[in-house]
Amino acid sequence: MSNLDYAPPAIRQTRRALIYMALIALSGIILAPFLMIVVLALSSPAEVFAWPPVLIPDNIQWQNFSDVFRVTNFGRAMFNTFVIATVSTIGIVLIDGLAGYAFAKMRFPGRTTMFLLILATLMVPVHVTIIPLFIMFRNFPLAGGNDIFGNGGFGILNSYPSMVLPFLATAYGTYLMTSFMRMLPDNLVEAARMDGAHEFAIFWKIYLPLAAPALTVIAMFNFTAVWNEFLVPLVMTSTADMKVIQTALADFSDQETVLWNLLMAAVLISILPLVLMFIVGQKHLVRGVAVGGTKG
Amino acid sequence: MAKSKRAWFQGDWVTPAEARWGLILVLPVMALFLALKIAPLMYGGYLSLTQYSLLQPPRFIGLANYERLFNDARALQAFRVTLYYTVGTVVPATILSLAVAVMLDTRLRGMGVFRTVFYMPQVASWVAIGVAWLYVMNPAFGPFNYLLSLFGIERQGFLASGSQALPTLIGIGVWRQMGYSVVIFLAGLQGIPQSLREAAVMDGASWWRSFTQVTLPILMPTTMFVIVTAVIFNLQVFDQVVVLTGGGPGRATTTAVLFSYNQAFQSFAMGYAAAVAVVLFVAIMILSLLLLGLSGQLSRKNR
Amino acid sequence: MTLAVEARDLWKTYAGGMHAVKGINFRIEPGELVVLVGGSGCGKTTTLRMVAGLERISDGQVLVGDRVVNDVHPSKRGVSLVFQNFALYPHKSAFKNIAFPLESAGVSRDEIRRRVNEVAEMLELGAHLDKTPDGLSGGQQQRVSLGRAIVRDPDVLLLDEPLSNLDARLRVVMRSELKRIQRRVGSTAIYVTHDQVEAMTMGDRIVVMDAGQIAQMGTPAQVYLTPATLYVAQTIGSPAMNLFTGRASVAADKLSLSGQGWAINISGDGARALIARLPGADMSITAGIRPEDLDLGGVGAALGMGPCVTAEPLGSETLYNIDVSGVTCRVLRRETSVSMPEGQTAPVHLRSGARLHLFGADGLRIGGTVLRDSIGHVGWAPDESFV
Repeated sequence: MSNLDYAPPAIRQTRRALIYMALIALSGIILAPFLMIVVLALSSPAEVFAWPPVLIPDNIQWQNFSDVFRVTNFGRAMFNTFVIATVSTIGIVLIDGLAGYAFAKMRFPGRTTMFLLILATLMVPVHVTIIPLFIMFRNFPLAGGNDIFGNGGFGILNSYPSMVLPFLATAYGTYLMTSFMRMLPDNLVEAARMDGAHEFAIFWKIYLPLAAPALTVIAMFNFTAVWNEFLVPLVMTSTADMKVIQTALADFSDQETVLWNLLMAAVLISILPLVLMFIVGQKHLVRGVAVGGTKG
Repeated sequence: MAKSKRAWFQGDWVTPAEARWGLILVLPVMALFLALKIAPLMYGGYLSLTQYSLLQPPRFIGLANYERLFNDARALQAFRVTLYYTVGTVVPATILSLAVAVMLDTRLRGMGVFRTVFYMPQVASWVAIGVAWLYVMNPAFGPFNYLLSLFGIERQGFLASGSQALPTLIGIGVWRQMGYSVVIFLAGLQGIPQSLREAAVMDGASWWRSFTQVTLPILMPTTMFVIVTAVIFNLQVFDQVVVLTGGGPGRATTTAVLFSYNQAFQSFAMGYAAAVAVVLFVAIMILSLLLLGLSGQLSRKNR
Repeated sequence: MTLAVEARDLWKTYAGGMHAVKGINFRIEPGELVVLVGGSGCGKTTTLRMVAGLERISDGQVLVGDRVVNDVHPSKRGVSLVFQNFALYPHKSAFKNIAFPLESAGVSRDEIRRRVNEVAEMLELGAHLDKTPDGLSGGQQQRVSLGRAIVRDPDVLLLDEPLSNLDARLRVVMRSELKRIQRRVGSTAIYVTHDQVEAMTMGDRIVVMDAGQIAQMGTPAQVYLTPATLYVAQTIGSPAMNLFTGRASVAADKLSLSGQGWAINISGDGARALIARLPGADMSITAGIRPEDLDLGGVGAALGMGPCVTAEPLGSETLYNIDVSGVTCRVLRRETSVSMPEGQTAPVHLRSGARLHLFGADGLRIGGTVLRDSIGHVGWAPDESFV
């Protein structure tokens, strides 16, 4: 737009200044809570309740970050979160890669029907399936003290699978992957087939490497989503050693008191990996969001 | 034509090997979707027709759960709260995001930094930013009340106040929703060919005219995408309510998903909880289809 | 090794009932380069893909050598294919691209290195083997794709419009290059193109396809000098053949061809021989004359006349477009500068030795070739005398 702006320089500069001011003001509002997180994470318990609020703590309380792991079992929660986020991400990348390739590049009976069926589940929100899934997992036969009919125990509740499985069937990832695979040239399949490559090798050696950019986007989305997920762990687990970050954050408060400074230190620790990943992979992520918006 | 032949095969896959491998590659995915999406969906539908407390096997009671739901003031209030929250969040967030995206699209210096900033709330979890807001809006020692006091405004209850809790939730919802919408609007804006704007300039259109006559109509599909996804997403509001208000004070901020969750895991009324979920699911479907139909109509009118 | 390729009553029918290829037959001799040429949708690419095994054969047979390959996997047919847009694996180096078919076949590492280097040397690719396709020029990508096709020493080399993605200058270079490599490798080759210049310059024989059928199969000279159908006449040759529609009427020993604004009278022995071959005494026909067989001015009666609409200097020749009663007639004269101003009216004559092709209402060639002799008489010769 700027290169089409023929307004006199004075007006143009005023306009630009106004835009900057508006954006900076809005950014302030967006960043304020994050600022509070950082400030509190470095504050002493007394400064948390100071009036007027403290913006720069007197003594920076670095030990808050180590206290986080002493006061609660936050380390275990982080480990659990890391495991389910990583395992589900690897699973999704493989599954969506396979499905996207097959739907985009191969011809087989029932292809359209199956693709539409998967697309239709885009409309099915987590909250509809979470209660049935809870019961299905609880009644999983021969696991967690269950008999062969799935009675008597807790099935696969309170386990990693109960927190990983609900994420594996994501229509969005399959859809995104299929669209991306469709953009890759068709004739590489034919070239590889002429060259005598095995059908699985065509996927594994040719198309999977070529789909790396889209797979990165899906991996980042999914890792973030699972890392931040609250409802699924809340429903599927009840034991202390199966807590994940989002459910473990509640441990910093009880009925009467909240350990604000430790809570915020824990929050900061939990956000940091995602922020780093976001900054590193920003270009990919933004493109991924944009593909959904412009193609959807 | 010498002679005419009927197609003797149905599909057009090249070799049996291709058809076989296509199925082999797709089968694991289909199995997962059947087991983890389609089966639970149907099972949920069945559960909603039963009475089930986990202790005894489900007992079929027909549509009794639905009958109860439509006579349950608490349930109806939960749906009302959900609707208020969704409309209250999506409308201002969409308008604000469009404005921000237009400002960011001016290709001034530092726009990438601003985009990153606006996306930040999307990166953090609802629990993480929820507790931050919980502190900021605290009635006793929250910095926001301090800020108001500088302007001579007395302390407000915000999330602890029956009348202010929902508006406060909505405000925080807008704050987070923007990040997502801005990025998509920006992508949509940057996808508009420069030549179209140049044409508008050549035609002597003012900025406002070229925005309303050229940019907005082209941006219509993007706008509808933003609105539909935001509506679907916000109708399922749950995390932020649990963290910020727990559904209170009283039931002032108990949303449909939270109500369903409470029925399932506090009252162990699995059947009733499933019925609430199904009704919300149907409402989401109808609303999305209505919005999509509306956008179809709009784009046809613009053609 | 090099083998013949044969198509026997080959059909391609799509699920909707659309016939892309309608029962074609051909036999390509070992080591021969045959070009399939025709407009889009004529079935040439479908035919090639059926030979390759990328398209299922609806009916009929494809033979490589003596073997029916209908149900043989593409990579096991002894054929390889050069794709229109090269279809190089974008993430693999040129070396890896060429090596891929050998790797798939489980050839040993040393053997792969030896053969890839041999092929690269033949294609002058030695310096570029480490580059990925996006670091190669169009011509180099073309060579890599050709290298991948010939590295496993195929019996039959299939080429699907291999030059259409190159710029005009490179296309001319690669034309002779491709032919040279085909000769050197010795594989039988089937070459698909829509470009009749490529067909004429490259093919040992040409197969002109029209609407899923073979319109004509023959050497470039046969196809050019004695086009079997109106479609072939229109497709082959540039600038395109002039077509005059009208009637042929016989009166005693004389045959007169005439239409709106044009007429040709044929008498003498030639006329008698021609009349004997015509199916009727009075019939509608299309007369085709190539632009180089026409001249502006000359001996005897003019074919027609009209104003010069445009003159296009082509370098050593000039192409005149003459408006003969509403039909644009193309006349090619060997002159380096325009000698006839636009707007001037000129008579159009048949040159000495000009060939005139007659097509019946069904579009099929009739009556052999009409010739004009040096003193202005129009005579006749059988088609066979041109072969």
